[in-house]
Amino acid sequence: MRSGQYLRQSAFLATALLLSLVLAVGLTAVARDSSTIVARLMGDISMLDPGNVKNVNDMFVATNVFASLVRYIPGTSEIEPDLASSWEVSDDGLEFVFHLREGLQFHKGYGPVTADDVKFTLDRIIENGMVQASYLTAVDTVEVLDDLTVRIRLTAFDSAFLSKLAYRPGFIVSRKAVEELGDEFSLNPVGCGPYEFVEWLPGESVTLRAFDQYHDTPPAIQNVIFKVVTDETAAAFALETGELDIAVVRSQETIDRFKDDPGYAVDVTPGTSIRMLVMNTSREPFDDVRVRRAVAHSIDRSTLQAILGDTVVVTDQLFTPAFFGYTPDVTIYDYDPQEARDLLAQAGYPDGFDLSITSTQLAPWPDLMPVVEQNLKDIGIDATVNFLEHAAYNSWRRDGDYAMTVMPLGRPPHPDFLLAYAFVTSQFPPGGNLSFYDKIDNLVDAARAEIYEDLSGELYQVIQKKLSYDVPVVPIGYQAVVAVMQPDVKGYRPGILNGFWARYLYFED
Amino acid sequence: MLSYLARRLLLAPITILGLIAVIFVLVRLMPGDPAVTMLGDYATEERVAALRAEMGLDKPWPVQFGVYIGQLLRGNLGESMRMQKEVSWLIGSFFPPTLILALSAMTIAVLVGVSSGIVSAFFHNTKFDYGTTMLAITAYSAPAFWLGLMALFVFGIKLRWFPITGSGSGGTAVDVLRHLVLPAGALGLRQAALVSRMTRTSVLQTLQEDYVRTATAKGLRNSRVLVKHALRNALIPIVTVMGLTLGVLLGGTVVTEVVFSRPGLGKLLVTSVTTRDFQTLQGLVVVWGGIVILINLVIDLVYCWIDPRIRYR
Repeated sequence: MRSGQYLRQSAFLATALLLSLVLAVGLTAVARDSSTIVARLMGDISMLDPGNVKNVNDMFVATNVFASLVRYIPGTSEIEPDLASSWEVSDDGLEFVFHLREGLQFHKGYGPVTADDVKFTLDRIIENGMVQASYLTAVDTVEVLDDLTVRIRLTAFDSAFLSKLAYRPGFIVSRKAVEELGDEFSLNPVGCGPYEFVEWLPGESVTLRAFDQYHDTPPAIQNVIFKVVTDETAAAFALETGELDIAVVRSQETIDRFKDDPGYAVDVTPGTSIRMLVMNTSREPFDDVRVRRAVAHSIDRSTLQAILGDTVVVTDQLFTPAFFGYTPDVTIYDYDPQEARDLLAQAGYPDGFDLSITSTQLAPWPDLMPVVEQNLKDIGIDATVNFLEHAAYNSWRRDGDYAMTVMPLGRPPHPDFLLAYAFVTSQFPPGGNLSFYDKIDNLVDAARAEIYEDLSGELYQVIQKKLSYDVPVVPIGYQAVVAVMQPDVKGYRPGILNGFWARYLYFED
Repeated sequence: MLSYLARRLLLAPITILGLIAVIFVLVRLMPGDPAVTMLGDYATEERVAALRAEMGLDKPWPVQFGVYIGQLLRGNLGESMRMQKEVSWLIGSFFPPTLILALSAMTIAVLVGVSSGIVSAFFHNTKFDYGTTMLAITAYSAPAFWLGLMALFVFGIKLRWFPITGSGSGGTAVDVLRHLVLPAGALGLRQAALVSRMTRTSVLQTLQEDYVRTATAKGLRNSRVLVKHALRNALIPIVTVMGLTLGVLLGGTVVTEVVFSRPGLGKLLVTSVTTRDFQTLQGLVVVWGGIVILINLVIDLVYCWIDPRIRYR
């Protein structure tokens, strides 16, 4: 059977050819390049215009491309000079005069950074109602005094104003670049930060290059490649093969995989993004503070911590020591089911009640809500939890139609960000005051308007005490920022709220 | 023939219109407001309302539908509010990696599938036949993502032969190939199993036809009988499966794209759903629908070419 032999031979030949081709392509080794670091991006970028930046992936890139007048000292709520070398505040606290450093340059030859660019940046956000506009509601006018001096007038003193300028709204853009590039600016941004934007390959990666005219210490690593690796398992694998040098990870499974492995370094930093249970104080049964306290006493935090591992730092307080004005001296509700049942009985619910809780499906809620459900059942509240996909949850909660829900909230470590969003009456749903809490409006305004830092801090302490006493929300924990890196990656400092600072990183020889 | 072609071409827009209507309603029935999703949790009610108006979402559905169709007729897929980019531009930049992956997988499926199918048929009920049958059933039973993960684990992590993230776009042709081997292999081999089984059955059937016996009887070589007489007639079902396979591969690369962190339409689709990017979502469905309809049309035309007896009137 000659043809059979012929067929067999050609099949063999084809297989051999294919295999050798595959091997030849596969074994082209790639050498380690110490001028380039590859970092994980958890999803593709969508817009890098700082006026509209809001998701974590965009922030990862934007924090390296842009710089602001002032910035946070890493890991603290303290502010230090960045583009502005100094500033003065008027006695009434309504006027800020910033002096820009000399010789600041924008990327890609877009010229010097001037007071006019600062004015343009802020005016543009306010006038166009961009996403960041809500941070700048206190701004009255922005005036250019000379090339390097800019005056910002506020309608009311805002003790968090510098913090806001150090956050997303303060990223200075080049007027010339925005006007020249138009819509293109968003995905081809021009800033004056430590890295300039080189290239975006949709769905694949973002490449940055160290800016040789950066005003501060030049970054040690020349190129940063942000590689889009959405899947957590894929990110873990890519760390193992060395395709990623550093990755911010989200799941305990990934953390466990690398935690005890000396071949990797793992950094766990408690963030400033809180997770809390919210009770609707405007309707039964949570209009009664005793019922809210009963819920607070029912939560078994040691079990929660065991389940959530390193991903969430479980807490019984609203603020962490990283916050300005933090005090540990607040009402703490220990895990005490008996006390909880007594409180329920006093409030007229000796047999508890039925409760439906709607939660977002975003991590860590699916892991922690079953514990909460059981904790509530243990004190007689027959709770059932329903999960909504996150975008659906975000629309649903705007109606304010619930007795209890959950709330993830990430803000910089100045208390005003959180308070003015989640605890004042002007923010009743559809705003962020999901608990319809109406007792601290004056205090929040007073603390913000207080010019003396000490007094302002004391007011924030009063607010923390009041909030813990009234307990409109039950704090569950702070989302931790966990980074896994190759052992030779050094200098990692977790960025403020969703940021990623590549400029501190270096490779150890 | 020509009138058949004309009829099919006329039907295509109607099919697409139906498809658009379905997806148009479905995205709007999804809970979750695109304006809220876009503006984030700090958004005031006024801003949300303004953005809804800007996106045209405040108008009644029939009006929105009319506007969208009018826009499509002018060849405009609209703008993605999420990225402030033309949807056509987005699809254009995410399509190539998906197309390359699908075509590579298709090539593997056809090369491996057809050749192993023919050999199996020719040596049916031998060890080789049983072996390929077993392999094919195993490969086809395994979910695509599992095959992908296994390939990734063995060749990416243990042996370190191939990279496991990205598509190598922006690099050299070798880079692109290196990134393609594992995902295309995992996708392709699974489809190869299907093509192989189909080819085996089809060739086996034609081998029992009278004209094959006649060809053998008049003294032709076996290989000539196989290629010239049997194979040509066995091709129709094979081509059908190939067409279906390409459709499946174009639409079914989502999981493989996620496992191998590759850019592509699948990932664009998932992001569009989670961010409620209606325009991109609708645009993707229109383009995908169009491609599937086109593939089917091409397959029908290929039938005529393979088998002149088929006349469409």
